Amino acid sequence: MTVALAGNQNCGKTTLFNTLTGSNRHVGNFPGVTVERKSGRVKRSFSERETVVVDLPGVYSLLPYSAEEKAASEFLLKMPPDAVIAVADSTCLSRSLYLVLCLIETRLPTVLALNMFDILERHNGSVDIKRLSERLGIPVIAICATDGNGVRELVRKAEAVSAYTPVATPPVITARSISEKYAFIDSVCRDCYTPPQISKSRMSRQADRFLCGKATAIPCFLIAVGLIFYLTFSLVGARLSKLLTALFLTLSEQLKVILPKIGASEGVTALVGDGIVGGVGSVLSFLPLIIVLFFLLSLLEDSGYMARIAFILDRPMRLLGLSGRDAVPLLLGFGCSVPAIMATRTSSGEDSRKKTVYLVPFMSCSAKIPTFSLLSSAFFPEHSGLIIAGLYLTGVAFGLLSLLVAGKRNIAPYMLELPDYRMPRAKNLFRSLARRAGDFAKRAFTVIFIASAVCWALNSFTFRFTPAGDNDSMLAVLGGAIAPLFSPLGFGNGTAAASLIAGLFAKEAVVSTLSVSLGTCGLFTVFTAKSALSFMIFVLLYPPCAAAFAATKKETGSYLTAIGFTLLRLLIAWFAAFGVYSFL
Amino acid sequence: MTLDKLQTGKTAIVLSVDECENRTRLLEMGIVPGTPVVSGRHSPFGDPAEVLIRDYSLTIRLSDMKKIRISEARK
Repeated sequence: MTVALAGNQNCGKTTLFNTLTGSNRHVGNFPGVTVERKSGRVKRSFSERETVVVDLPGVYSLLPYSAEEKAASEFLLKMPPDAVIAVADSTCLSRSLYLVLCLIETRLPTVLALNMFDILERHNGSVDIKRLSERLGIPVIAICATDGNGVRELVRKAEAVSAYTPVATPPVITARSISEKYAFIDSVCRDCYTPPQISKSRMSRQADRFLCGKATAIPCFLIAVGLIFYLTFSLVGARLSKLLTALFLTLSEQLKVILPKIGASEGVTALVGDGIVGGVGSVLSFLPLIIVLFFLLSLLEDSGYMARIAFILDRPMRLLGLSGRDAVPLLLGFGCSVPAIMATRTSSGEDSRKKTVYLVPFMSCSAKIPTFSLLSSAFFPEHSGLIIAGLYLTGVAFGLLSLLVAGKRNIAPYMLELPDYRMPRAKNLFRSLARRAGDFAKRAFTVIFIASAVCWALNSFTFRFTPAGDNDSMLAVLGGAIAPLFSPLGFGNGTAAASLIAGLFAKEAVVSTLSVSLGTCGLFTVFTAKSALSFMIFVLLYPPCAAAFAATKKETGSYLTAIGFTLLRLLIAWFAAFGVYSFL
Repeated sequence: MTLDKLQTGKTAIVLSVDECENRTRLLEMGIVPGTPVVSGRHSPFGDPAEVLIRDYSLTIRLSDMKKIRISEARK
C-alpha cells in the first residue's frame, strides 16, 4: 500500500520521511527544498507490511501556486494514495490544521501526525489529543520525527485507516469557505490546544535583528556569500583539487609505463592513459570544489538562512520581475546550473520560472573555473584573481541586463514563511553530501567518461581512422571548419574552436581539450592576452553544457524554449567577446 | 486602516481582505477576519515585511499589506 506524507513547509515532513525509510533524503529548511517526489519503503522496525511512503513537496493548501505545489496536489487528487499522513507542526497548530481540513475534504483516508510534540511540551504547551481526534473525525498521534517517538503507532494507524471507507460527509466539511475553515480551526484550538508558553522563536527574533537588520543584513549576506566563495575556491576546495590533479597525473603516467609491459598496444595505452584517466581525472579532481560548495549551500538551507536571503533580496529581484524566492536558484547556479535549474520549481508563476531558468547559466558555474584559472594565470599572472572576479560580475551583469531589456510584464508574487533558525544536523548534511558526490562521480564515470573517450578519439584520428598528425584529426578539422566564425573574436584557431565544441558536452572539457592538444606552452601560440580575455568572456556567456540544456528543456517543458535560449546565448557571447576584442 | 500602516511591534485584528490577485493565498495563510496580527520587521530595502500571525512568521509585500484592513487593538 502507498501512504503519502503531506504537510506545510518546515513542518519536519522530510525528517519524518527519513526516519520512516532510513533513506538518504535531504532535510531542508528553505521552503520547497523537496523538489522531487521521493518514495521509499517503510523500515521493518516500523511495519511488517510492504508499505511505501511518498514524500510530497511542502504545501499550505491544495490550490497550486507553484509548479511544486501543483505536483503535490495533482498527486493527491489524480493518483490517490491508500492513506495520507498529514504532518502538522505542533508549535503552530492553527496554521497547520488548514491543510488538514483541505485533506479531509478530499475524502482521502487521513491520519494526523502532531510533529515536534516534544518542543511543544518543553514550552508548556499541550494538546488534548482525544478531543482533537473527535472534533476532526480522524486519528491523531503525537510524534517526534527526529527521535522516532510515536512513529510506529503512526504507521499502524495509517495502515489501519486505509481499510475504512470514509464517512459520507465528514463533520468538518460543513466549513466550506476559507474563513469558515479558520473559524472552525479557531474553535478547535480553543477547545483542545494550549500554545507554547515561551515563544520558541525568541532566539530567531534576536538573530534576525542582526541578520535581517536594516544596516547589517546586506553586509551579513555579502560576507556569507564571500565566505562561501573563499572557502570553496581558495581555502579548502582548490587545495584538495590540486592534490587530486597531481594524483591523476601520476596515475596516468604510471599507466603509460605499466600498460605496454603487460602487452597493451600503443593505441590502447594512449586511450586509457591520456583519454580516459586524463579526461575523467580532470573532472574528478574537480569533485572537492563541488562538495565544499554544496556542503556550504546546504548548511545555509538547513539553518533557515536561505529563506532570509529570499526575504532580503525580494525588492531588488522585483526590478527584474522576479521574487525573492528566485534568488536561491541563482545562488545555486554558481555551483552547478543543473540543480539550480531544477530548483526553479518553487518559483511562483510560469513567467518568473522561465526567466529564472534563463538567468541561471549567467551565474558562472563551477565547471568554468578551470578554464578561467588556466588562462588568467597564464596571461595575467599578476591579476588572475581580479580577472576571475571580474568575469563572475560580468556574467551576472549580462544576465541582469538582458532581462531588463526584456522588460517586466508582471511581477511574481511573494509570500514566504520565515522558519526558525535551527542547528543543521550533521547526519542530514552528510547524507545529502554523499548523494551529491555520488551523482557527480556517476556523471564523471558515464557521460564524461564517454565524452573524453570520444574527444580523445576525435583528437587522435583522421576521418579515415588513420592516426592523426598535427592538423588532420577529426576535432581539428571540425574546429578548423568553424574557426573562421571566431576570427573576429581573436581566436579563429582550430584548437580553440574544438575546445568550445567539447565544452558543449561538459564545461570541464574546454580545459582538457586545450591542454591535451596544446600543452601549457602551446597556449601562447594560440592566444594573446587580449584574445584570451575574449575567449574567457565567450566561455562565460555561451550556452551551458548538455545536461543543463536537458534540464532547461525539462523544466520549461519545451524544446523551442531551450533551443531559443541556446541561440540567444550564442549571440550574446559572440557580440560580447567581439566587443572585448575590438574595443579593449 | 490597512496593515502596512501598523507600527512595528503593535497588534491589530484583521477586519477584511480586499479583492486582489493574492487574496485567496492571503486567506489560506491564515489572514482571515478576526485574526490577531503583530507587525514585524521590514526587509532592509523596506519591503517586504514580516507579519506575526498564528504562532508563525510570514513575510509579505507592502502591496499585499495595503489590501488587508485592520483595526488596532485597544490597550
